[in-house]
Amino acid sequence: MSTIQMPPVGRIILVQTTVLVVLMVGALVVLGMVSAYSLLLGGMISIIPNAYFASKVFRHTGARAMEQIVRSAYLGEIIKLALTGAGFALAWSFVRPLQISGLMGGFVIAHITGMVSLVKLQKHVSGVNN
Amino acid sequence: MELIYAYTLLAAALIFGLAGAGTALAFGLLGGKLIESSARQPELAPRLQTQFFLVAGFVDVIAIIGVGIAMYFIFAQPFSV
Repeated sequence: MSTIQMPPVGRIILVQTTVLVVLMVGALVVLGMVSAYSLLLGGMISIIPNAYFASKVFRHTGARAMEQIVRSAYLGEIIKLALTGAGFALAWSFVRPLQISGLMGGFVIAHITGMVSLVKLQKHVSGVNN
Repeated sequence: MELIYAYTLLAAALIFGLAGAGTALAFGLLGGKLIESSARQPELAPRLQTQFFLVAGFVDVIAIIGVGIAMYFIFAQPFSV
């Protein structure tokens, strides 16, 4: 019987947030206030829906619950897209001034950081177990 | 002015539609393969679930960036003069 191991989602979110805050401080020093909060907003638009999606995907585990996993992943993806769209809509509507490159850059950086840290942490966890 | 606004909305609608269709297609294939693979080798199910989560992140990032740009077109209206 295999042991079911959930990826360290909390640690991935922590890594994403840390990278984002470091970049925000760098942007605040080098580029100014607007770039810094645009970067932070873009990152938050990525992190919050992704965390929700992760909680939906890993609500059920194991081969017997695979249909439930896929069903909740579909639902989670729909809500993730809606949350991201709402986040972008709110940012574009209510935050003025806003830097488009900062917002999109923060979003992409947070997303890539999440993916890379998931791969790294997963390799680390399976390396410890084997 | 109205024409620019109409075309901008049309572009946003096209982005939403194509992004949604692409993501739905990819997720359908991904979910199908996940069920198929875990039925074939149930002992690999936890690892497959994590791989599913990882690939899901790669699959939808372009669509989500498209949604972000479409929202920019609608709410920030960069083409209005």
